[in-house]
Amino acid sequence: MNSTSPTPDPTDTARGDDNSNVATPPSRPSLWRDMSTSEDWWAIWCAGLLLAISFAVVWFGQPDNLSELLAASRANDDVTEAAAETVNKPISETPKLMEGAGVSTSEGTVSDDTTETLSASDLASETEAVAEDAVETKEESYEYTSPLKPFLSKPGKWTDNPLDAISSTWTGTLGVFLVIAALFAFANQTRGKSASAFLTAFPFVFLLATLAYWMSGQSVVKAYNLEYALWALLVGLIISNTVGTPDFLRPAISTEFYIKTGLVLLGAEVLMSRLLALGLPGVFVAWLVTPVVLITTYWFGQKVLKIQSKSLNMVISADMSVCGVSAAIATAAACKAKKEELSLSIGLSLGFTVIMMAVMPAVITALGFDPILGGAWLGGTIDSTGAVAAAGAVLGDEALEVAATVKMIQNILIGVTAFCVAIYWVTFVERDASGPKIGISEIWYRFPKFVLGFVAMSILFSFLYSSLTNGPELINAMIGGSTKTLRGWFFCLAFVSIGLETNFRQLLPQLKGGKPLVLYVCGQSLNLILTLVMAYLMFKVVFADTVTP
Amino acid sequence: MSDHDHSFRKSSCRVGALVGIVSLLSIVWLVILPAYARQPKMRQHLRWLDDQGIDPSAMYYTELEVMEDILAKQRLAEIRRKSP
Repeated sequence: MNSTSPTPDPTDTARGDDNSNVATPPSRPSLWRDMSTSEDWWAIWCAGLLLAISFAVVWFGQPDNLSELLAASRANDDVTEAAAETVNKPISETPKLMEGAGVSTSEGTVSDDTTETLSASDLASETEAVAEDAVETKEESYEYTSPLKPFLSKPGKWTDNPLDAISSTWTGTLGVFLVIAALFAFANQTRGKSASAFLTAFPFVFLLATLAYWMSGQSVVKAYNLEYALWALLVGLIISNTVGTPDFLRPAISTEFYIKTGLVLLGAEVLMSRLLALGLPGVFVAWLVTPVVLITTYWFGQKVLKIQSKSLNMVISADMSVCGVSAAIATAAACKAKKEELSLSIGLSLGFTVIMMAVMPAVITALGFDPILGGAWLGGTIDSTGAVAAAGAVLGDEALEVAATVKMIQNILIGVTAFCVAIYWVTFVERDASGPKIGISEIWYRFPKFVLGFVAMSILFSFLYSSLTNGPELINAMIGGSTKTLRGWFFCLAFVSIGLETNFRQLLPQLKGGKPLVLYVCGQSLNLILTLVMAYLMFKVVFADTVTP
Repeated sequence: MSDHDHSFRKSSCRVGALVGIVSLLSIVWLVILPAYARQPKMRQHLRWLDDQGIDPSAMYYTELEVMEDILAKQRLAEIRRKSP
């Protein structure tokens, strides 16, 4: 984050012909040298390599008849869906439903002719039996998964027996360890650091990350939305604030490198085609309110609360208005925030998410909102994606679907947010207000390049998703079978590293005057009001007739 | 007290703090949380989350099992719209 930010040089100016001062950069490393040594570029290379391999495995590993298998599976889903409806419908409606789905009985396809020859009770029992058979065959639905999936995983969920978390996932965890160790050792060596020092330290850091995953995998901990980031941070903090972080671990404590690599991997999950999943109402709720709240909260923090650290102000604003921890990570990296600022933002977000997850469904029920409006409100306001789903499910399936989809659309906003914040930061915040304008080359020099990788991966995989035959299945298999897992490990390693580098005393000044808390509360209040108004307008007034979840 | 003694006491305190915190966390994770998970109300809630395919600690939509079902449903509807 802030460790690599170049600082502007006030003497670094030249007067242009139009009498306006434009900064010109001093001699800087060539692009080639920058690309072969800088952390930002290496994050792009590492994540790009992982994505290329993951996609190649999925692409070359697909069965020859994938299209046929998927078509048969969809037909099976149609039958199952119609059958499930049949079980719950009055007998008089069943023939039409079954015919529509092309369901065949032992007598042949259900048609008007057969209904004439069967008695009502015969028909009822026949169709019900077929319907139940069809529902049972749902498990046979085909889903293409990456061949890499068994070799890449993280400790799973456990309730009573702690060993449940690793009994079925230890090979996948070992696989992740080997992949990251090999890749980062190579990257370190190429960047002029010691691969052997990294390889000596990395097993211990990875072990701490595994411990954090294990802690977050306990069912009760998961149910309260206490994400692995929190435990990774805690594990690192405990060591650094008791016995101290041993020096030999330092070569593997690479917070920024892990975060940037994880973010470029995350880019592949930011699929633009998901944007219209709920049509225009979803876009308005998620993409209109969110930037307004983000900008207003940032402005409020600067002008009213006068928060000294602009990066802390921005990270809290993005974390609260976009989608919690993932947005905080992306924005913190884009605006080069301090590690303690990211930790504080995440702590605030998780604390409020636990409260909102429990309180909001009760408020919605008490106010008598319908599930669609309630779901949209939840999706646009609760920070964490998992907590949105949990709160939505309390209100029913409709609310769950709308809430989760609105949140997903907001998730996609991460890429745009990170890009815009990075541009704003290098153009306005890092510039001396009384100094001259900075030129394009200076903006390029200061711009965090990994954000380009993040956006590029988002565009590339959105294109592949939409344009390839069976693109959605291939990209989903790639994400679900490998890149999502690796991205999670990179973030977990990053938070362990933050903990190992942080002293509790460094966190305390950030809480000075309770301003971050006030900022969060005010921003979230605005978010609650604006999202409710917009959700009501979109789902109940403007598009009331067209919205069907 | 010599510097050596002072340093030894300080490092002993640090190791003691680490052992104390680790012991406390071990009790919470290995005893209290599993016991809480066994409470009928909590057990019911955990089963409900499992049935719904919801992981409340999911950080991104791709980590949410229920989202796969929702997206699959939406994709099926889209395919039906394109080729009814």
